[in-house]
Amino acid sequence: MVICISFVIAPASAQVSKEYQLKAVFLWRLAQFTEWPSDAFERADSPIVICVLGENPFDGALNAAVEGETAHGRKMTIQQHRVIEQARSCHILYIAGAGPRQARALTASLGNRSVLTVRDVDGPASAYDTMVSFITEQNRIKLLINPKAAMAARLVLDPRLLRSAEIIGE
Amino acid sequence: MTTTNRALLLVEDNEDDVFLMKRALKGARVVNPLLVVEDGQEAVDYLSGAGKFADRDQYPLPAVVFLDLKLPLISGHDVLAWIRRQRELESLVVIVLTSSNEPSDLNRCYALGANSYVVKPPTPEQLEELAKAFKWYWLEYNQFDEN
Amino acid sequence: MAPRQTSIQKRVRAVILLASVVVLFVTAAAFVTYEAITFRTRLVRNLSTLASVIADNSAAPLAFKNKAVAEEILSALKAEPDIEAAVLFDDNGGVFATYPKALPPALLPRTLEGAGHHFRDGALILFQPVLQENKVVGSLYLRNSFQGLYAQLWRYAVIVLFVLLGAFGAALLLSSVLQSRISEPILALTQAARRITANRDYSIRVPKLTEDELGVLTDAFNRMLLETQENQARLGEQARLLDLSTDAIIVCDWQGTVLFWNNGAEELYGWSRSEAIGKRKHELLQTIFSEPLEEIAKILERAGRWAGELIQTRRDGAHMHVSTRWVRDPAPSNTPARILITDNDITLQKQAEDLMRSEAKRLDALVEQRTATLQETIGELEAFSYSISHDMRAPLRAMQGYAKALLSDYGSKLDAEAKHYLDRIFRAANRLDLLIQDVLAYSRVAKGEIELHPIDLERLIDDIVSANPEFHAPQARVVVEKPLHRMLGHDAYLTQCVTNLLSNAVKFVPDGVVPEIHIRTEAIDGQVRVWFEDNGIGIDPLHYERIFQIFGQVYPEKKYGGTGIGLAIVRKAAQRMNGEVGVESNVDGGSRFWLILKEVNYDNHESRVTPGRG
Repeated sequence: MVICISFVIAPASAQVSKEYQLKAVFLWRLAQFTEWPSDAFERADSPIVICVLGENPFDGALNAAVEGETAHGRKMTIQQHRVIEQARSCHILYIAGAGPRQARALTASLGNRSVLTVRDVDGPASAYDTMVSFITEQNRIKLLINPKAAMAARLVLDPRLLRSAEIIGE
Repeated sequence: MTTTNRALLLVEDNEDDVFLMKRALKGARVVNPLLVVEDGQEAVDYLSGAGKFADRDQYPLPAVVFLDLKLPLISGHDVLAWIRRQRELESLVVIVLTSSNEPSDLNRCYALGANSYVVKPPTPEQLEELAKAFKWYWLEYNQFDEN
Repeated sequence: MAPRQTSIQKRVRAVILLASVVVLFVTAAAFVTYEAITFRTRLVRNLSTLASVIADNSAAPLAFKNKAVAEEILSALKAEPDIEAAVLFDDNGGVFATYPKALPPALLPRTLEGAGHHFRDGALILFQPVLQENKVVGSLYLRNSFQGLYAQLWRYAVIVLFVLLGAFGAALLLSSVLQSRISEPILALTQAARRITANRDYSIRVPKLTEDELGVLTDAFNRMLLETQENQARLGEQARLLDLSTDAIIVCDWQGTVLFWNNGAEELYGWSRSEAIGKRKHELLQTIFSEPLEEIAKILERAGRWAGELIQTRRDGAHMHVSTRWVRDPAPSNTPARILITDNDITLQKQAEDLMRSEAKRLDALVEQRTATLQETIGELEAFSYSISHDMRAPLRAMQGYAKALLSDYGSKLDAEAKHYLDRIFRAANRLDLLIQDVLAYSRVAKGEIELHPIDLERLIDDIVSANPEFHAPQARVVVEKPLHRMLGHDAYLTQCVTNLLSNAVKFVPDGVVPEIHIRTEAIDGQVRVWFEDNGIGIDPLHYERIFQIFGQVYPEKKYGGTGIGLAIVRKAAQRMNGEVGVESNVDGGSRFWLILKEVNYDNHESRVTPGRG
């Protein structure tokens, strides 16, 4: 199965780097390790919406990744958005190509909405950053997680997730 | 034989008593012949006709025997007993005439078959009375069995 | 406690020990068995649980490709020393993380298997899929060796063994302590019993150690001892008292075995108590019984007692006659009966008895002899007096006869004087004859046993009067005041009495007086008194006694006649009829003779009465 999927995915996202393939996986994995409040979904079978804000680096990899996968029994759908206002109904928001100030502003505009914010960072993330940050170190993608921020958004993060990540904003 | 002729035998050993008896009988006018023997043996011989007594003319069988008890040789009791054993002397009247008034002698004599038992009266008058009474009773009124 | 363990202590201890050991063993065995049975399952479960947890925790690192964290998670297996290897495979089957970090390739699984476990090469191999959202994201491989387990089991067993031993030791100790609680009272009782049996000391008492059944037993035992002590004291007291007796007192059982032998028996038979007890009495004393022993036993059985005389032999061989009294001691049904025997030595008595008997026999013979002699003599005397009297009468008759004959035949030739002499001869002879007759009468009255019968006195008097002319009118007048009481007497004797009394009355009258005799009877106190009241010359009270003696004449024979024996005969006859005769003077002159005889009533009718001697 795994082999199959990677085969299928491979031609479609040949251009997408391994890094973003992995990050795509991480994203929907994150969905699996996060709990949204019940009012974050209309219905019981409402899907988890993973949004990409800005230029989509994943291409179709994210779509392919979430194909046939579930998180907490919900399907996941991918949305692409240009502006943050459109992204208010996302559950996970990947802010692509944003700097720290921008990221801060964007997350602030989200307020206390239960949206798990994710972005790539080059150096250490700050407390005002997105809840989850991907950092690449020694050919590995590390996760940096700000649990406080997640808690403020009424998001419950699986401790296992926390364990596998570096905690910031303590 | 008439009564007057019937002999009387006196068996008595005492001469005086014999004398007195004879006198008494005489006084009573008893005329019957009186024969006398002096002891028991003689009495038996006389009555059985033994020896000299075989002569019954001289020594007739008596009708009455006066028997004293105190006798030599054979006692009066024995003589009496002997007499009563002799069939031919069955009817012989035996009057025991003795000086004893012992009841034992009396009983014995009657038991042996004496016809009478008389105690010898002490006085001759009484003896004569007895002889008279004997005569009247035994010789005149009494009837002898004719043998 | 005794230095050497007694059987009850050992037993109790063994019991406690055994119980403890069995319990321990069973428990241990149960546990060990349980362990052995379940360890595999447990192992699997444990490992599974562990695998689940690790797998669960590994989902995130697998998902986010965080090898370090995965290794970190796996390294937690360090805590489980038995886990030899753990490998986390990713969803491609590649090794993601291992534990230990440097895993020898030998411990890697050859193939990647699905979920499950199996035992191979002394190890438990477990595969646990790592799931995320019900999708397999990786696989966890765990390898758990048994060595540790075996070591653990072994350890377990050793521990159990040591615990066992320890517990055994504790049980040993406990049992030693506990057994005493049971055995001590029992030992105390046993010891006491042994001592009592050995020393017969009933003053011993057993201390009461517990309040349970053993305590009850101890109490009962002590009570029994007390009773036995008291009994012993009582028996001892009784035995002591029995020893005071000089009679031989012996107690035997039914077979004759001696159970008790007092001092008297020791002295009598010469055998000491210790020698006699346990032996058979009849054998020891060589008893000769007067009746067969079975008979005696029967009598004893029936009547409870028997007395008799035995011949027994002393220790020194001397024979003795013994008077023995046996009493059966009735015992309760399940205990054997005993016999109490009391013996007296009667050897001397027996000898004396024998002597007396032989003496008595000798005397009897002597008496018989003398009596025979006496009777002979009496007989001779009687015959003598009889014949003398009769013989004497003949010459008297002759005297009288010849005198009379002389008088009547030769009276004419005799003068008055001659006639007078003859008359005197006659009268003398007459008198002698009377005397002889009276003597004969007296002797007849004096001898022999007579029977007394009821007498019709009226008829008797009639007979006498009619038989004797001198009592008839006009010579005399006999008046009988009828009715006369009936009395006990003897016909002949009474005739003699009455005749003599009447003839006396007729003889002893004054000149010219017609003798008159009144006869009457009166009954007083069962006796009849016959009165003969005459009008004769009377008797001076001085002579009242003399006249009843032989030849006790008061008045001259010349005047009144009489032999002098008449009243003596009356007295003798009266005495032989158990009566009495006497005289009083009449108020008007004359005499009153009385004769007392027993009255006839239905008690003494026709009795054989032993006549009085007098």
